[in-house]
Amino acid sequence: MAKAVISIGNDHIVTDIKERVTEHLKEEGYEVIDNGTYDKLRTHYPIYGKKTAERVVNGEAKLGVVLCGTGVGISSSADKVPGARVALVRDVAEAEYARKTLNANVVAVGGHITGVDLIKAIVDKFLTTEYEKTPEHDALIKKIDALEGPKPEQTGNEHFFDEFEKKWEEGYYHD
Amino acid sequence: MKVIIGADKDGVQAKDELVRDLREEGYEILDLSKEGQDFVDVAIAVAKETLKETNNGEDKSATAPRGIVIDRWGTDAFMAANKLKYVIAANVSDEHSARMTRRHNGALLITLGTAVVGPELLKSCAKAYLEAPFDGGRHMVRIDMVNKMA
Repeated sequence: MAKAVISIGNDHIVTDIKERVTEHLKEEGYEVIDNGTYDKLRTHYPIYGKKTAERVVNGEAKLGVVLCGTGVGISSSADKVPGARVALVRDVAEAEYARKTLNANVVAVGGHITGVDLIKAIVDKFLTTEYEKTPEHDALIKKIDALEGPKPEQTGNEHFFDEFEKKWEEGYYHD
Repeated sequence: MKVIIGADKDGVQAKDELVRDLREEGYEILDLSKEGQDFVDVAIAVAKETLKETNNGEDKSATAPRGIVIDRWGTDAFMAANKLKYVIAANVSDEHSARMTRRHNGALLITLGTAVVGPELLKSCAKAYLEAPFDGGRHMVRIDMVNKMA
């Protein structure tokens, strides 16, 4: 019997780490939706941050996990999904705090910053900690949620980033 | 360089020490901390002021103003600040992340939690972030994508 559905996403530089975390989650009995990326071909973290967080917000998954090099890029994009409350952490205590107090629904880690065993421990703690519902915590969350409005053009739109992918392919961006 | 800084009650002591150090090193400081502010208030105040000073984050030059928010955990200020359009905020607890988030993400501000980051590490994270250049190049496509998100 599967526990909960977890949405996971990453960019190309940490695909191997994502695979190890996914394997671990499956061993723990979770059902995992892997939003990609699936290989090491250069791609862009906002695509996967958005997808992973949207699956949590729309109820397909209970909680989410996102990874990139430092965790910053993908967590920043995931947090811009309305209804997503993303915690970028490097330790178990912060992950626990974010679940308990802020009802964070996506946890982000840096696959090049944090070791894979610690990542697993962070994710385990995040997924097994419940929100501690108090009037103070509810008020805080309400205050954070009030910073965002509905984004109909963005939400669920798989073509939202097409213009940039096209420019990328055309060589507009270069080092 | 101008540093726009803010702390809630849990970050005020670390903030005061950091401000003193940064001033000694020649940074211009704008301290937006006010009594009674919670981490959401302070994160939003610093983010909005830094956006204003950088033309919605577009100015990523070496001298462009940067934001620093200090509270207890860093995660909460991070969560709130990223909700604003054009804000790329990073919650950091090591110098490497602090440096890389400027180089690759062009982060507008960093958040630091005093429950997580000790006093000396906090200062060295702040300095690593402030001293780092922005790499631009291929990283711009990702930033353009994030900035399209509202």
